[in-house]
Amino acid sequence: MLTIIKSGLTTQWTDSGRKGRQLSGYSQSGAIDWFSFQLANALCGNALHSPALEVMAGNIEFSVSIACAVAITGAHTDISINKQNIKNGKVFLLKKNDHVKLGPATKGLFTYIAFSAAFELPVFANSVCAVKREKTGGMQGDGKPIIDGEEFVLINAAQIDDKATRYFGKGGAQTSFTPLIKAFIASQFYTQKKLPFSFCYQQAAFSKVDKQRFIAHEFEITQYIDKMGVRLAGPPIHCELTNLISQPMANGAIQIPGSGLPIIMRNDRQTIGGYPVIGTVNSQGLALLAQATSSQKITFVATDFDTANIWRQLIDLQLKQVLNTTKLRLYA
Amino acid sequence: MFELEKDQGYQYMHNAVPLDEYSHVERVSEVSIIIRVNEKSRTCAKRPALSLQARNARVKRCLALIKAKSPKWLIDHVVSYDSLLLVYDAQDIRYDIVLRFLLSTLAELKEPEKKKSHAKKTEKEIGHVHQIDVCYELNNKSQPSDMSAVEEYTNLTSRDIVSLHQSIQYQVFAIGFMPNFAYLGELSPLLRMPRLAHPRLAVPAGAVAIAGQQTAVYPSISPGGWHIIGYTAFSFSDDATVAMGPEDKVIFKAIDQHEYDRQLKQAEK
Repeated sequence: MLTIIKSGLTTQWTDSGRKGRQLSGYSQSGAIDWFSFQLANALCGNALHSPALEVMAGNIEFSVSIACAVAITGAHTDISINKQNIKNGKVFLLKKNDHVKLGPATKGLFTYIAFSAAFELPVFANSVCAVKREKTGGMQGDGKPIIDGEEFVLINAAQIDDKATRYFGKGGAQTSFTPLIKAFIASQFYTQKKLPFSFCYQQAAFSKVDKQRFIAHEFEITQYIDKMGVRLAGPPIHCELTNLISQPMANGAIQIPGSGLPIIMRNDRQTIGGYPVIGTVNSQGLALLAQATSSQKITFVATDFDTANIWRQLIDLQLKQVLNTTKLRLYA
Repeated sequence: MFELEKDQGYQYMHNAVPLDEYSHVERVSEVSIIIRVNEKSRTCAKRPALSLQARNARVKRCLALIKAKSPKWLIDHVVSYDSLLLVYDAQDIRYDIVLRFLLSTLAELKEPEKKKSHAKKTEKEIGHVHQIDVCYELNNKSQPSDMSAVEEYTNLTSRDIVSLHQSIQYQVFAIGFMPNFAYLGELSPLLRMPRLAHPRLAVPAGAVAIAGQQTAVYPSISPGGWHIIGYTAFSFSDDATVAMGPEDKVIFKAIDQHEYDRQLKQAEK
């Protein structure tokens, strides 16, 4: 049994998102910071897309009724196990009825908590995700987040090797990440972020001057930031198209409404949109943006899809390496 | 890969690969591509321009051809008026292989579509006609209306706007943006206006709105940039099944506030 004693602002189960339902208008959903989500699973030795908790802005307390491994990644918070402080980005061994407490997020926005155990969770469109706006998914099927005191029934827990405990010191298991992963984690918490994106969609309907302005100037993240999208403030970008036929929205699409202020579409976005799109933030940029908070500054860096894909493949491989190392260490 | 120039008739694209004279494939993210059917022929200026209806039919035909082969890498897809988004699993397949698949699968787009005999059309293909009752009079704090802005922009009276909005049997061009949100077209040319420069953060459920050549009903509360002209008590199915199919038609009928309140009460029961 997993008991969420205090659920904070918004805590939800998440995974890599829904599949096959966007045709009927259901959003893709899934972990906003896909990187931290997969890293948490890798550190626990889980399949990379296993359900994990997504905590917005921290402030959560929970306890588990079994011994299992837990990994906490993403947004920085004070973390304590039975009042003993521990560090983010590591895996720990929980004893039966250990009490884990996360303080408010001090850096970043989304924290991910993965367990080496599976819980009974309802599934909507091949996913455990809940979308509040749609009133779909979640424990009651109404898209609502986890409430204080909610309990989750254990299905099974991975058997941890007795010898594995020696890897767990007071500060959690020793993990050595590759330079690429280390550098990427650090860059997620810079207050000025560079988001790689590619010009596409209606990019030809923007003048050269406007495109240059788009990549040369800094944008500020406004207070309108949620899982659907992020609204930016900065120099208005002009588009000559006004009556565009609504088109499907890819994850990361940068819409430019009449006001000229960009909106970056995220996992819980609408499937179709009618504002011109200047380009798409690629998956690296989306994971960077996931840990951005309002009033932080971002700039867009133009790249192409093939380059973006090479980075993604490298990261995917290295996450798999983390997973394989954990599996060898933790499990018999 | 090559890029087409503006003067070849493709105004708004990048990284595009032609499928036939009207359609092309464009890459829109690391994991997705869009197939777009254009109005004008790319190769010959004398070829007829395609209506939105014809383009929508071509998009649906593309989807049928792709689905017939049920490719394993296809995770998700979205249909809109003149475009089709395909989301693939980048860990499973590379972009160039997806492209090669599409070029061979959609090769028959170049051949003229075989005429179907009308007798053979099933009921599903013909589609159902939904009547949606709309109260165009509401304007209060919880149910804002843009009717006066529409009047100003179009130089029409609200009565004209209401009758123009009802004058057409609309076709469902796409379902998306949110569950059960059906894009209906095409709106009378007299009512076409650009979206709000500052989209609303919350459009109430049941709002009937217009933008560009389209109209729609918001099935539940949502951010939105369309101009609200009325409200309906029409209830969309609230479970996972979608009330409207892509082949369905919609007609609007004006009702007064008294009737709207009555229908709303009935719907709440």
